[in-house]
Amino acid sequence: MSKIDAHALISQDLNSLVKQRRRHFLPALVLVLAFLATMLTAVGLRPDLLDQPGYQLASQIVLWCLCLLVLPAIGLGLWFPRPLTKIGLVLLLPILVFIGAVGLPDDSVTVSELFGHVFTDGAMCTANMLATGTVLLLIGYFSGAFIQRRRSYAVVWLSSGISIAAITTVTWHCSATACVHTLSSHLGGGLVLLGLSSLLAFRVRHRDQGEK
Amino acid sequence: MAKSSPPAGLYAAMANYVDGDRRAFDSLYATLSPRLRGFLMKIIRDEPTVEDLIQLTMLKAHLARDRFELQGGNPDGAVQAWYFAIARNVAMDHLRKQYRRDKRLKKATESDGLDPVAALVDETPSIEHLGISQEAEQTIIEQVQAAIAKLPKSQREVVELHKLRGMSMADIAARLQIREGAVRVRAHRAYKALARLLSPQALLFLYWGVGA
Repeated sequence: MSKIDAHALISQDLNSLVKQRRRHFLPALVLVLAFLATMLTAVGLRPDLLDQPGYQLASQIVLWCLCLLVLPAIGLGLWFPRPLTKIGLVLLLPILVFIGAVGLPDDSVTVSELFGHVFTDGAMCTANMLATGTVLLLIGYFSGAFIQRRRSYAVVWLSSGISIAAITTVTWHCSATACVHTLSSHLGGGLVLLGLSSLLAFRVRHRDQGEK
Repeated sequence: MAKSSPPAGLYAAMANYVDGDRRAFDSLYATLSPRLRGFLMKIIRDEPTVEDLIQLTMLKAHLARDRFELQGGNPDGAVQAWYFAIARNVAMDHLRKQYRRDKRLKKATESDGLDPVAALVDETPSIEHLGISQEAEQTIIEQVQAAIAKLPKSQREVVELHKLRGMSMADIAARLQIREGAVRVRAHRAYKALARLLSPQALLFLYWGVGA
């Protein structure tokens, strides 16, 4: 029998690392929940929220759970799912986001209609979403929840969580259901937010690693 | 040095372990322990000592895990080679110590006035002799890590390469592209600073546990 049990010591060290990450994450989660509740109260929930098709409402609720708990937990290193679970999530997320934000579209739109819409009626929703995403990003950053991790893909999980939270917030506020609007302003805005937040997070990460 | 081919999935487990995944560490430990045992038995040929050295190898690897870098085109092989390199350094340090002790014993038996049994006493305190509980050991590891992190970058590099990777001063000088004298000055300052920052127990742990 050896004098020291390295396995137990290292396991304890890894557990304390996860605890430390959780200590940063929980206050950020409380702040995010408070912000989203205030935001939705201030701008108002859409009047037909509960009248949406059941599958759409269900996918929105699943999206809330994913973006507030599951994606940050993976991104921050609180939960380490198996590769198959991750692949399943990556495949499931776009489908859920599409169903949650757009539903099952019954009208077809052209690309020019989509882009034209962003600069006319959809600008408000896109701006709303970018503002929400920015606040969520800042809460995460200043609360210390975005502890730098070794693997860069963590950034994409966090950015996805922020973008989905912003998309679902706008979906719960805006009652427009026209495909041209939801595709361009809700999903389009979400994609822009995903790109911008990932870019920003990669830059911050790159800068911090350069300083080390 | 006969190394068997590494099992598949070692690199993935290592990457997750470095990220903080305890389950990945369990799998890495279970896979590598028997291999390290076989490797060390060829050098040391004493089972209880080999058990101690495996534990020490795991602890050293844990403290240096952030610096593991993928080299070459065989990721699983790189992980195994990295652990074997640490194990080899640990074994060499052990043999050096044993050689010094044997030399001391020989001197003592040759001279008339000395008690050969007294010369056998290992001057290095063990964790058991230090009376450190597992919780206290954990605290000490954290203290040592925090103290090393507080050092200026130039000194921290030298301590990490010297104590954690077991590199010689000449090798460190070559790696950092500075004179060996400068490395020694940095190391001297760093250890002086660590002596100020750490409790006596933690300092002993650094010298015994990390640098043995």
